[in-house]
Amino acid sequence: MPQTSTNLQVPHINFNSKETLLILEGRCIPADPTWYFDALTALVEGYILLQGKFRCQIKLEYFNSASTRAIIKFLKVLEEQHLQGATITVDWFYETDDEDSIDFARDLLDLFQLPIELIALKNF
Amino acid sequence: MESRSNQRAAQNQPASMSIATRMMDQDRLMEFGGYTHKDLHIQLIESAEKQMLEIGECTRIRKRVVNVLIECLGNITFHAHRPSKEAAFFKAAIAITRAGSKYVVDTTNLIPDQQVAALRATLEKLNGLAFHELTELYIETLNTDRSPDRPGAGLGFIEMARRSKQKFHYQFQKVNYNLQIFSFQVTIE
Repeated sequence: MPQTSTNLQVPHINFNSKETLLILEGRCIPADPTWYFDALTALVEGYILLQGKFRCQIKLEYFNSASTRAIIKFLKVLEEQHLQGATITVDWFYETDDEDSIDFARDLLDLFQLPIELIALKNF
Repeated sequence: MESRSNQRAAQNQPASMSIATRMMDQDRLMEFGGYTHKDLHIQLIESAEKQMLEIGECTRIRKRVVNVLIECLGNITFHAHRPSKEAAFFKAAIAITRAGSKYVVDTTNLIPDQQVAALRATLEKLNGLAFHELTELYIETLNTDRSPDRPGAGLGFIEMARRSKQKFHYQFQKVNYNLQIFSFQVTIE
């Protein structure tokens, strides 16, 4: 995919249907991330309805506050599916030396009734 | 205080020379002033991060500075006055300065006069909160749905206050009856 100013601002999506694994990786810093997360959420919801299970790995180097809100909304959808019986797991990656990222990861655990595993990496 | 002859010399300097002089004197990582747009902001973010990697800044500080820069640029993209509603370009100044172990991210832009009172109230409120109160406000704001017709996430200033752990510095300066210059500094240590 060519590097444009738009795709430099949103995470790269890698979906492995055999393992029902979605990987979001990179930066999430668009002024308005709604278009990205609305499309992603619609696809993921449809997929969970069909498969009944879903695993997501989120590895974000930077994300702005607009994206924080969008990520929270996305995770709320996963939480709803989880509470309705789907098997959902989320792996949230953070850098070991990034205190703010660790704080945010802990906030996620407080906010959701969803299996979220926090995974530390030395560097992204 | 600068002598009058120095002031005269500074006034006669080409614009790029005065920028270069300031960059050398003040350990300036970045200085931009002029018409900006969101695509340029991506380049500024990339540049700030690469410079901090090159000078070997630790992950914690590098990520704080870059995150604060991202929020500041997001704020000016949403709130800066534009010549017209459709205009992609707008006037702003952006700088990152290093002073010892501190970094200061500062931005200046024009804002409509009618936004000043609310913005000042927000900044005064955040400057008056302790860290744990900022965290409570952050979680509360995160859990509150935001009206789709309001630009931004309502989290940016709170996020910056949490990351900075220092009071914001800011000032407003009237330009005319409907515009003010808003200057905003965040210190990261």
